[in-house]
Amino acid sequence: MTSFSFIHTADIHLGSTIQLGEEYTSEQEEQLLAEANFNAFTNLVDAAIREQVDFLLIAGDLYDQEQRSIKANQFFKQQCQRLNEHQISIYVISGNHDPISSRRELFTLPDNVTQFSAQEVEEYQLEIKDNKKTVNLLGQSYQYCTQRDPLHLNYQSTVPDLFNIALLHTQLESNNSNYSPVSKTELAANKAVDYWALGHIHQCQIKKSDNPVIAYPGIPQGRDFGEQSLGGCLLVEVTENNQIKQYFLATANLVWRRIEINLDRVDDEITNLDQLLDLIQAKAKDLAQTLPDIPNNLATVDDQWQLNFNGYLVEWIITGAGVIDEVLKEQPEEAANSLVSKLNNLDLNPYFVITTGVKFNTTPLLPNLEELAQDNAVFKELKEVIEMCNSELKEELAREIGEIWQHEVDHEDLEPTQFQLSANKYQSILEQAKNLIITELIESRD
Amino acid sequence: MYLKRLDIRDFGILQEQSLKQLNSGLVVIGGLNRAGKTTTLELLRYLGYGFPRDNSIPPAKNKYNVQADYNYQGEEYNLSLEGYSNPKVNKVNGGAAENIYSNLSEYTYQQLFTISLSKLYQLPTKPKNQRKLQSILLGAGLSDILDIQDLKSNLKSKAEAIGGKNGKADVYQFKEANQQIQEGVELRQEAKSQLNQYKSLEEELTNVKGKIGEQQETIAELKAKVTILDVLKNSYQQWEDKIKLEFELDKYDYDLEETKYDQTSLQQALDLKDRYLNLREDIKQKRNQFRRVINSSQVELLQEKLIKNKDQLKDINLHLSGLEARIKNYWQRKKELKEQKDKITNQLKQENDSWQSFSIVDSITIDAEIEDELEQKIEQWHQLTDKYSREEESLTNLKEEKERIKSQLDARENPNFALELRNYYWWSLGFVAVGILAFILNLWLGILLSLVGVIGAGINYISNYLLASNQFSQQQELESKLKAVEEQIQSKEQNLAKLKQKKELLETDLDNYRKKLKLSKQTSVRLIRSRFAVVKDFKFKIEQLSNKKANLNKLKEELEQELKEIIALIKQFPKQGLLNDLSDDDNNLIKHSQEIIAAYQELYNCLDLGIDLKAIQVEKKNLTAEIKELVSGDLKEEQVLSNLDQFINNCHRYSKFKDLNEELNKLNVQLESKIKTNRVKEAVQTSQQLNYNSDLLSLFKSLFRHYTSSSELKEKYKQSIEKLKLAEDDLEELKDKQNTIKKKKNDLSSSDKLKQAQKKINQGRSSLGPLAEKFAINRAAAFILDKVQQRFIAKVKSDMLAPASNILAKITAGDYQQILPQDNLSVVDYKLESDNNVEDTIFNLSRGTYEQLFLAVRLSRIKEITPKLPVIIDDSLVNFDLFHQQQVIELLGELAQEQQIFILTCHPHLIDLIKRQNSKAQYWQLKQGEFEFSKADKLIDHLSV
Repeated sequence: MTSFSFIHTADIHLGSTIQLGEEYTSEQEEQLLAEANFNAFTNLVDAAIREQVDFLLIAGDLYDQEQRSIKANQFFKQQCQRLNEHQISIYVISGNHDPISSRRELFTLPDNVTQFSAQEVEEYQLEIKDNKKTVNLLGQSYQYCTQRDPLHLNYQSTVPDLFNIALLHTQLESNNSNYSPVSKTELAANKAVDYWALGHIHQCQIKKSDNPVIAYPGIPQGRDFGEQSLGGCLLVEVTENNQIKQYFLATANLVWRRIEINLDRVDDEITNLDQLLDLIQAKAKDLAQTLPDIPNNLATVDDQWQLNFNGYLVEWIITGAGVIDEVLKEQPEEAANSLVSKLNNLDLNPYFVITTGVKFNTTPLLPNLEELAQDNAVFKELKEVIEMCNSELKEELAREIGEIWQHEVDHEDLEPTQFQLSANKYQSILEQAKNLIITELIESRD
Repeated sequence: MYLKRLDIRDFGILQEQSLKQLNSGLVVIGGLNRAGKTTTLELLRYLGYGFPRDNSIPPAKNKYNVQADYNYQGEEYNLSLEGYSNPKVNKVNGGAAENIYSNLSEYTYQQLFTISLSKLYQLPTKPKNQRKLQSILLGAGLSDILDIQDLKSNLKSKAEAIGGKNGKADVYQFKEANQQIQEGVELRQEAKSQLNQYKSLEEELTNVKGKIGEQQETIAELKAKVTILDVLKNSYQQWEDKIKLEFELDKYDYDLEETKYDQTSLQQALDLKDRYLNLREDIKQKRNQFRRVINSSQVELLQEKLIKNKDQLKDINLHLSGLEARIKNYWQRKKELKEQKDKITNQLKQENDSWQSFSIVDSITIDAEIEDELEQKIEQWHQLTDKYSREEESLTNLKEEKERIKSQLDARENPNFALELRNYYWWSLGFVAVGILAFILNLWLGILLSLVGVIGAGINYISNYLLASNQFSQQQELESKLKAVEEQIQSKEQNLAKLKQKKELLETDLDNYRKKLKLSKQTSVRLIRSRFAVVKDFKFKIEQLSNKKANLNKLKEELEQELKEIIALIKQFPKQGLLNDLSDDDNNLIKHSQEIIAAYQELYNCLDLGIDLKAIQVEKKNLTAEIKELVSGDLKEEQVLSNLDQFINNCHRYSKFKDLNEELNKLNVQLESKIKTNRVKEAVQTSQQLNYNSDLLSLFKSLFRHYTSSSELKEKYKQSIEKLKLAEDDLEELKDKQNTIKKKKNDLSSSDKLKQAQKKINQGRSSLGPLAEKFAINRAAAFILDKVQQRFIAKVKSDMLAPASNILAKITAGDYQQILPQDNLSVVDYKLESDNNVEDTIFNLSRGTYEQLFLAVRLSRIKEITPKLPVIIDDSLVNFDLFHQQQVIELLGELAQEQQIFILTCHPHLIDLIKRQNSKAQYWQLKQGEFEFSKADKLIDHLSV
C-alpha cells in the first residue's frame, strides 16, 4: 500500500525556447514551440496535483542560466503557488545551469518551496500528511557552473532509519568530471540513501532499480535533436515497507526525431525529387499516427500524456547511393527547401510532424571500395586508412575536422558556435568523406 | 605488337612509299638531313591516333593517306588513316577490330614512346603539364597518388575556403553564420542581464515616478501662477480704473443709501421748478384778466365775494340752462293753452247750440254713480223692451200654435217644412233687422235682439219641426198640447201687462235725463246715452284745460322766483347794468329773463376767473410747500427758486456720484468675475496659499500688491510661461523615461528577447551546421588522402622507380644506382643516388646524364606498359659518349626482343654501333622522302658522304 508518492524531475531549463522560424511552422505551432518548455512543466504540475503526490523534487537545472527570463521566474512562482494550494512541497537543488552564484529569484516564492544551500549538504525532514511517515531529504546545490568536488561524500544522513532521498546533480562519472564526479557504485555504497534523485543527464535512465534506486528522470521537454527521447519525469510511489515503484510521467508535448532514410534499403529506386517526397511523406504519415515510446519501458500512470502530446519535429536524413544523388547535389539547398515546404504543407493527424530539414547524405552509385582495393594499391591504401579512422586515427581525424566540432564536450555544454561530434556524426562524416574521395578519384581517372 | 607493313601514300614529302616486311625488333632508318626522318617520326607518332589539325605536322599533298599492317599476338591487322579521320582498324582476314593503340592514351604514347632529343631534355614549364608528364613518367599507382595529391590540395582548399585552416567558427564562410550566432549570444546575454535590469528598472521607475510627482506639483504651482498672472495682467487696466474711481469718489460725501438727491428727487425738483415758474406766470396773467373783467381794482375783495357766493352762483349756473328751457316751455305752454281753450269752445258750440259756454257743461253733474244708474236704466229699458217683444211674439206664436194645432187637429195637415224653414229665415232676418235697428240705439240691445231673434226663431223652428215630426206618432198628444198652449197664452198675456207697466215707469226716469241734458223728449234712449258721453267728454276736457292753466301759473311763479334770486345776486356786484331797470313785474321778469341770464353769465364768468385765480394761487402755495418739503427748509418766497436750483444741482452731483459708484461696482463685478472662476480659485489655493474666501476684491488687492505696473506683470507672466514650458518639457521627459522604463520592464518580462536570441542562434546554427559538415567532410577526405598518400609513398618510394634505376645503372655502368622521387611527386624532378653521392635534383646533372635519366625512366615505363607498342627514337643518343651509346644500344637491343623500335638517325657511327651490337636490326635508307631497304654498311656509306 502506498505510503507516499513524489515526483522526481530535473533539467527543466525553464526559459529555454524552441525556435524554428516561420518557414517551418504556422503561428500557432510557433507559439506551441515557444511555450513547449512551460507547457511541459505545467503538465508536470497538473500531474502532481492529479496524482496527489506529497512532494516534488527538482534535481538541478530548474533554470537555464543562458536563457534566464523574468517570464520563467514569474511562471515558476505561479506553478509553485498552484502546488501550494494543494499542499505539495517542492525541494530544489541547483545544477550547473542554475548555480547559486547565478541564481536569483526575482519574486518571492511561496513557503512550499525549499532551496538547498550550496555551502553544505542540507537535510530536511518532511512529515507526510495523512500518515506518520517522515521522509528525510538530503541535497546540496552547485555554487558555480562546475562542481569538481564530489558532493556525494557529504551526503551523510543523520536519520538513516527514515526513508532517505538524496538530490544530486551529477554526470555519474567518477573521473575528471566537472559535474560532481561519482560513480554508480559509490552512490550505491551509501546505505542510508534509499533513492538517489539525480539530475544532469537529459534522458530518463534508471541506473539502479533498487536498494538504492539511482535514477535520472530526463528532461521534461526535449529542446533539440540532441534530446530526442520523450520528455517527462518520474512518479515514485513508496509503500509502507519502503518498496519503490517508478512510473514514467510523460510531460512533453513535442518530440524531436532525426530520421534516416537509407535509399539502399528502399525497394524501388528513387530517381527524382517527387519519388523522394512520396517516400518521406509516407514515413511522415506513419509517424503522425504513432505515439513516441516510453523510455526504458517504464510503466505510465495513465494516458493523460497522450492527450498532451502534440507531435514531432523531424529532420530527415537521406542516405545511401543512387542516381538521385546527382539530382540532389545539383542544387541541394533548393531541393531541401522544396521538400521541407511540401512536407510542412501536409495535413497530418492526430499528431503533427514538422519537418525542420531534409539532409542529403547520399552518394552516387560508386564502385565498391573492396573491389577497387583489390586492383589498385591506392584504393587498397584508402580502404586501410578509412578503417584506421575508426581506430588509431580517430582522435587525429576528430581534431582534424576543425575546432567547430567538439567530441569531448557534453552536448549541453557546447558553445553555440560548436557542434558535437557524436559517434553517429563522426561515422556520417567519415562515410561521406570516403564517398567523396572515391568519386573524385574515379572522376580524375576518366 | 609490331608494324609489318607501312604504305605511305600521302604524308609530307613521303609520297607513295611502301615499307614492307618490317622487322619486329630494331628498325633503323638512316637519312641525311631533310631526307624525311622527322616526317617519318611524326607519321609514326600519330599513326595509331590520327593526325592533328593544328598544322604541327607536315602537310599532305592531297589528303593524308597512310595504310599499315600490324601483327598483334600472331594476328594481322590493317590500320587505315585517311585525312584527319580516326584510324580504322580491320583484321586483315576480315572483320572489324579494336585499335590496339587505344589501350594507351595518345599523350602517354607520344611522351613515352616517341623519344626525341627535345623530349629528353626539355620539360614542360607549366606545373599542370609537368604534373601530367610526371604522372606518365611515374607510372601506374603513382599517377593515382599524383591525383590524390591534387585532390587533397583541392579538398584542403575547399575546406579552407569554408572554415580556414583550423575550422574555427569565426572565419571565412563560417563567419556570417557565426556572426549571427554571436549576435544571438549577445542578445541572450542581454536577456540574461534583464533579470538584474528588471530590479534596477523597478527602482528607477519608483524614482522617476517620485520625480514626476514633484514635477507635477511644480507644474501645478507654475500653472497656478500663470493663471493668476494672466488674470492680473488682463485685469490690470480695470484695476487701475477702479483705483482711479475710488479716488474720484472720495471727493463726494454722499451717502449711497440716501435717496434725497436721487433721480426721483431730481425729476421732482425739476418738475416743481417748472410748475412753479408756470404758476407764477399763470397767476400774473389771470390776475390781469380778472381785473379787466371785473373792471375794478378791488380784485381781491371781489374775488373773495365771488368765491363766497360761489356755491350759489354755481348752483344757479348749474340750473341756468334748465331755467332757460323752462322759460321757453312756459311760453310754449301758454300759447298751447289758449289754443286748446278756443278749440273746446268751438267743439262745444258745434255739439249743441244750447251749450254756449263752459258753464252749461259744468252744471251737468256727471259722476260714476249717475252714469251707472243711467246705464242700468237704459239696460233695463232694453231688456224690458226685448222681453216685451219676445212675450208678444211668444204670445203670437202660441196663438199661431194654437191655430196650427187646431188646424192639425182639424185637418191633420202635413206640416210644411219648407215653409217652416222660410219662416225661420224670415224671422231670423226680421230679428237681425230689429237687432240692427236696436243697435243704433244700443249696441248690446241690437246684438241681443238679433241673437235672441235668430236663436229664438231657430229654436222655434226646431221645436216646430220636432213637434211636427212627432205629430204623426203622437196624435193624441196634440190635444193636450193645445190645451197647454192655451194655458200658456193666458199666462203670457198676464206677463205682458206687467211688463208694460214696468216699461212706462222706466220711461219716466229716462225723461228726467233728457231734461238734464237739455234734450228733447223724442230723443231716443240710445241718444241719451250718447249725449251723456259727449258731455262727459267735454267735462273732462275742460277740467284738463283748467289743470293746465293752473300748472302754468305755478311754473310762472317758480320762474319768477328764480329770476328774482338771480337778480338779487347780481345786484350785489358793482356791474349791474340794465338789471336796475327791471321792476318786480312778473311779466317783466320772465320777459327779461334773457337779459337777466346774460347778466348772470357775465358775473358767473367773473366767478370762474376768480376761482381759477384762487385755485392757481392755492396751487402755488401748495407748490411752495412741496418745494420746501423737498429741499427741506423753511424758505422765504424769494428763496424758493434759488434753493430749488441748489437742490437740483445737488441732485446732479449725486447722480454723478451714483454713476461713478455704479461704474466702480461694475468694475468690481468684472474683476470679481475674473477671479471667481474655478480655475482661478484653484490657482489661488494652489499657488499663494491664500484663503480664497468671499472677499474676492481684497484677494485681488493682495495679489496686485506684488506688482507695480502692467509691464512688470507682463514680464512676470512671460517668465512664468517659460518656466512652465521648461517644467512641462521636463515632465514630458520624465514621462517618456517612465514609459521607456515601463516598456523595458514589459519587454523584460516577456521572453521575446530570449526567444529572439534563441532564434538567431538557431538560425545561425542551421546555416553553420551544413557548412561545418561540409568543412568536416572535405577536411576528413583530405586527411584520409594525406594519410593514403603518405603511406603509399612511404611504401613505394624505394621501389617505384626501381626499373628506371636499373636501366640508368646499366646505362651509367653503375655510376648512378637509384632514382628516387621527390616528396612533391607532381614536380618532374628526382633524386639520384650513386655509391658515394646523392644528387637532390636533376637540374644539377650533366646534360648526358640528365638525358640518360629520362631515357631510363621512359624505357622503364615502356617496359611496364602493355600492349607493347612501337617505340620511335629520333637521334636521341647524340649527347651520349660512345660508352653510354653502346650501353643504350644494348638496352634497346634487349627491349627490341619484346617490341618494335624505330631508330631514326643521320649518324653513321651509331649505325655502326648497332650493326656490331645487334645482328637482327633492319636498315632502311631514307633519301628525299623515299625509303629503300638497305644494309648497314650501305647505309653507313650513304650517311658518311
